[in-house]
Amino acid sequence: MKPRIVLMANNIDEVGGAQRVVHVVAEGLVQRGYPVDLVGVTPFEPRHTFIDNPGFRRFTLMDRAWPPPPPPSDFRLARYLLPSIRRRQAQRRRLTDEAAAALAKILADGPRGIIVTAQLWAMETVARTPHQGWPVIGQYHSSFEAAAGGRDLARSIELYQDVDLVTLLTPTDAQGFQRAGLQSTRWLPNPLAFWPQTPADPSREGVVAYLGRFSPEKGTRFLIEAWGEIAATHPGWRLRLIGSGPDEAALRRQAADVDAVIEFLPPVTDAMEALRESSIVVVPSLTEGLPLVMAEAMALGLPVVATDCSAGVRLLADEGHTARIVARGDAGALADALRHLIENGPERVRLGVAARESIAAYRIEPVMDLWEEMIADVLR
Amino acid sequence: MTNPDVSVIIISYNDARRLPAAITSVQRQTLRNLEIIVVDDASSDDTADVVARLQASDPRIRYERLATNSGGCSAPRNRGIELATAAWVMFCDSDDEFERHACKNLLQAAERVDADVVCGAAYRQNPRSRTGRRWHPELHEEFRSASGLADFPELLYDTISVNKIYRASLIEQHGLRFPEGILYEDQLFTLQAMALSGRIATIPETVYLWNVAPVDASITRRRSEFRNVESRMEVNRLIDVFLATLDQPSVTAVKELKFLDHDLRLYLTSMCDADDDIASGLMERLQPYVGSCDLSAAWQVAPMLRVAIYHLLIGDLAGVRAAMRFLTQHGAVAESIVAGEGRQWWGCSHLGDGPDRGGHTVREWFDVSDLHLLQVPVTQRSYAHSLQGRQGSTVNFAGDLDPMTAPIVQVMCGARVVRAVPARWTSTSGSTWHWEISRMPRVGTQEHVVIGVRAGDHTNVSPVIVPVRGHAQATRVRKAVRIGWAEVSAVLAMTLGTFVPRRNVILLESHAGAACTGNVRAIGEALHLAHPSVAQVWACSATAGDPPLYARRVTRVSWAHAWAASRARWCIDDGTMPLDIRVRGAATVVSEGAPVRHRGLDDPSVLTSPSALQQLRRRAGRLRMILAASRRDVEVSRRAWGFAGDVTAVGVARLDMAVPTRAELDFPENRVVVTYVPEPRARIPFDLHAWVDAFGDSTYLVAVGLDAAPDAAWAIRALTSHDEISRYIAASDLVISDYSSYIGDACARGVPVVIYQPDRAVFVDRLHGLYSGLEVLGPVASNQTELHSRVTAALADLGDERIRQQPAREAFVRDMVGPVDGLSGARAAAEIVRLR
Repeated sequence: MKPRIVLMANNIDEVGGAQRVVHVVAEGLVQRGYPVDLVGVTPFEPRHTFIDNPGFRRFTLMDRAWPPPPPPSDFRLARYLLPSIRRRQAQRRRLTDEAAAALAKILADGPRGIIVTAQLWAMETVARTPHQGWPVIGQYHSSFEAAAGGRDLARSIELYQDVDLVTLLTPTDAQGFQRAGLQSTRWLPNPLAFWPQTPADPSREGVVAYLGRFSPEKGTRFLIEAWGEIAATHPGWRLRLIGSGPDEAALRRQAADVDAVIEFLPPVTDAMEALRESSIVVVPSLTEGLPLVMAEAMALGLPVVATDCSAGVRLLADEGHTARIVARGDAGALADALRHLIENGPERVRLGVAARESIAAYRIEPVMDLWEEMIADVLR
Repeated sequence: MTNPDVSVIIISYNDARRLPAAITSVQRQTLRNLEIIVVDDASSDDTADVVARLQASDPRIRYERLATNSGGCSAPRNRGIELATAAWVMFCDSDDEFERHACKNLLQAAERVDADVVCGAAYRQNPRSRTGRRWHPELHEEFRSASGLADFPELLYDTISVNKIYRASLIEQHGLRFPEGILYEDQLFTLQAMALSGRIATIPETVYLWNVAPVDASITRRRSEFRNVESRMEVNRLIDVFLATLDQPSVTAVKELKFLDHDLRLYLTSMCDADDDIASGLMERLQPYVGSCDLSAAWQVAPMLRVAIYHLLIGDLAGVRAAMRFLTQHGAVAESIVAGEGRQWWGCSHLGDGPDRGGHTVREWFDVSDLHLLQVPVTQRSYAHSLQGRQGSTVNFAGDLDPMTAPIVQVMCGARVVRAVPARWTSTSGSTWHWEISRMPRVGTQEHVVIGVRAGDHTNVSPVIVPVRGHAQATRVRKAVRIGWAEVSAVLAMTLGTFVPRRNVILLESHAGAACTGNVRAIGEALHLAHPSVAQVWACSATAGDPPLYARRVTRVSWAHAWAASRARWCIDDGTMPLDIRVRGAATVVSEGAPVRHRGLDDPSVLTSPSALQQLRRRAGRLRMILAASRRDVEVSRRAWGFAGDVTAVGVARLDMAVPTRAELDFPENRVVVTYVPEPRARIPFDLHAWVDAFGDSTYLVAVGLDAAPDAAWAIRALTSHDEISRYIAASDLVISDYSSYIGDACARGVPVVIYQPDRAVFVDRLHGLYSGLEVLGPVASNQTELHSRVTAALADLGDERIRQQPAREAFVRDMVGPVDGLSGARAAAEIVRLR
């Protein structure tokens, strides 16, 4: 009898990488015979259902969206004195309590099993909910460096202090969190949503694609800058940016200033289909966990140019062998790598073939084997 | 339950109070399939009841009681070994706890590499605060396994039994047991287990929470007790017997070194503080075993430890204490140093006629030439001062103290002198000079005392240990918030703001309040010359050094700071002024100098941190002007701050400061001075000892942001932001740097540069990125071996004027550093007062 798995994320309705992963994992666990509940903390409109007729139940804990945090302050007193901050904090407390109550109800509705929290906020909710006898597996889906650069590190160490196991996306990140104070860490990669039977064809000319949010940490502006250096000498090529986000207007302005063909496309639900049309895929991020877009492009047999921004990137690909990896935030280096691939069709094909072969380790089957092994270890 | 994975043996004697915590920590293990064997050493308290209560709800707990008390840890642990049924065994003491994942982490590691013994890290903690530090962290940096102890002899330093998992069949096969009747029973057991193992491994995870009880409570912590020292010597004898049968020279060598460098050192250290009769009792008990040791390992330990060991061997307690002060008090030298034949010796009375020991003469034992104590520049020396009541003394170890200049007793708070009392010399006895003060100044809890003495042309300031008094007074005076008119006005200024009239005041800050130095200070000084009527207020922390005499200081982020900010017409800082201090005057930021590494909005590590980004935008939002260095820096500053306002190139103001003479900075004569200014970061990959070995004799290294140990004080000086780094660069012969804007200072001052970028792949490619390639400015090294050869080459070319006047360097100064004419501060001051 396989144990019940309650898989939790901050929200499960948005079109995003984290959401896609939890749905794929939930369905993977169902295929292996585990009863699964997928729980989001806060709602997101419009709702997106990733899988038709899922084999698991879906829940959302809060009935309203979550208000943003108050600004930080050097003076501690300000936190207690300013009415706007106090009001917002009271509202957050109320919603948090409601979420904990809702989660308790879900936990009670079925046999005991394992709680898996894909994100930190989900863990905050679990911490407020009585869950005696439930082993908890905490996950963190970004790199250790990214966590250490922001407030996530201290927060995750505190939240995950008492869980049974914390999984990170790469061995390097697992080691980083262990050194920072978590004594039970393990490496568990995210699986590819599905494995394309026929690879794409990188030998033809035409499109360099980017797929992702338009926000500062994705480094899209460096890509546009790099494209400005290349476009004039390669008129047959277009840069295609697929996505949306807070920086979209600024990026469109920047693109208009560059004398080159740059097309913007809205976000898509099927990333692989969108990438299949392209010849090169770029991941210009300044920070990443284990970038799914990169794995998907590699699974399609496409050559990838990525930045050296996380242990995840370095885990997915070897510079020169299965992808090109360049310094982050460096438009010149990005342009050089792109130019080389654009001018060199056989090199694109060689990289693509090697990439597809190496990325097979992230297919759903081997990753779900790791999940089963991990669940057995946790219950030991 | 059938077949538990691990048997955990918890021993207890009359500890019913803490035992439940230990048992619970094992019950809560993430490895659930285990058995807990509680062995009670015939306690007379209610241990049995306590265990019975826990047993009622957890069938994994077994209880065993010895018939009579054994008086130690060995007998109960041995009984536990006999009772254990699992394939793996672990031990826990009643007053400690297991980390929650200990069993699973150790077991999985053992299974993964098929090891017989696996060690995890122990965390020595204060049981109340639960804070502390790891024990032997160097053994637990990462997972490591070895085919036997001979391949991993450092594990000998990890002598406790409780942070390990043992294969039960190993214990069974060799009949391993803890020796009964002595303390330190762990040392023999763990050494035997590890030496007889096939594969052994260490894991990086903490597994054991070792509650370090206050002195006198735990049996083993009472080092001064004679039974303790006798036991430790006895265990060492037993270990020697075992090692003799083992016949593994590498293990034996490490054990002998460990005994001198660790075990013996602990006792020698405690002899410094112990009463005379206890200390001499300790000495008597140490002497027989130490005397019987093969002392060849003494030539691998610190020279001063060797000197102390010699004094122990000949039974001179005062000599042991004097030598140990070097190791326990930041390198304080408590005996005169005798020089001759190019060597230096510890100059105590035994030097002439002391007996040979361990096949070496007393001169060989006392040879402390490696410390080069007489070559340490005066300001960097560590004098052995003592102060009791009003009487003090100083050891004139180098023989050059100035008898005409009286010592001065200073109470310090960080880098700031709080109070000072002059002393007067009274008498001398040998190399010890005595002095006396009229009254003892009060010392608060945050403060420490230093003694200033004069030797040659320089004043040395070394700390002295005095009892801290006035604790109650200090806490009573320093209340969190005192309400007065200034505070009320400050609150008004922060909330209603506009009612406070602004004055001709400028608020200055640098290095986030840690110091009052650098460009901001230089601009402040130029401003004072041009506009003496503008009052200057420096915001700095209590431990920062002093601002210029004409300026007032306020504590950073305090009501006084807010009050000053609300009145000031101008504000100037280097980009770190706290956002919650409401700035009403014209806020100006000074660029740090030549743009080298990416800053602000160009720095990927800022772009990826939402909080850093938000802070940067708030800072930029209140700026009126940026004072950049060069034309290129103007561009960079605009981009980095996202600032559309007034950006002016004024040059680098700290370059206005005069070039000091080498004597002024107390640089040693006849040696080349090399300054190392790395960009501040968490781990600077620079091996100081390798540097000293290679260049100690010919160069003097001034290093920013690194710690120099006392044994390297003759060759290395550590600087902080309290020091005007640019002036040190100006007086140096060679500068080593990586991504720091001080490279621009070196070029502008005509000092050759070696670029040392060992972590370029991480720092530049993964983290920050650079504005300009630096390869044209000097030879580049990417590891320390390369650095040494580049430095050797650069030192050979020092006389070559062409290096200083390379076109690339001149171009860098012109484009990146800006005008170098000594007027940068004046230009900046003029720009500032123009704002109203």
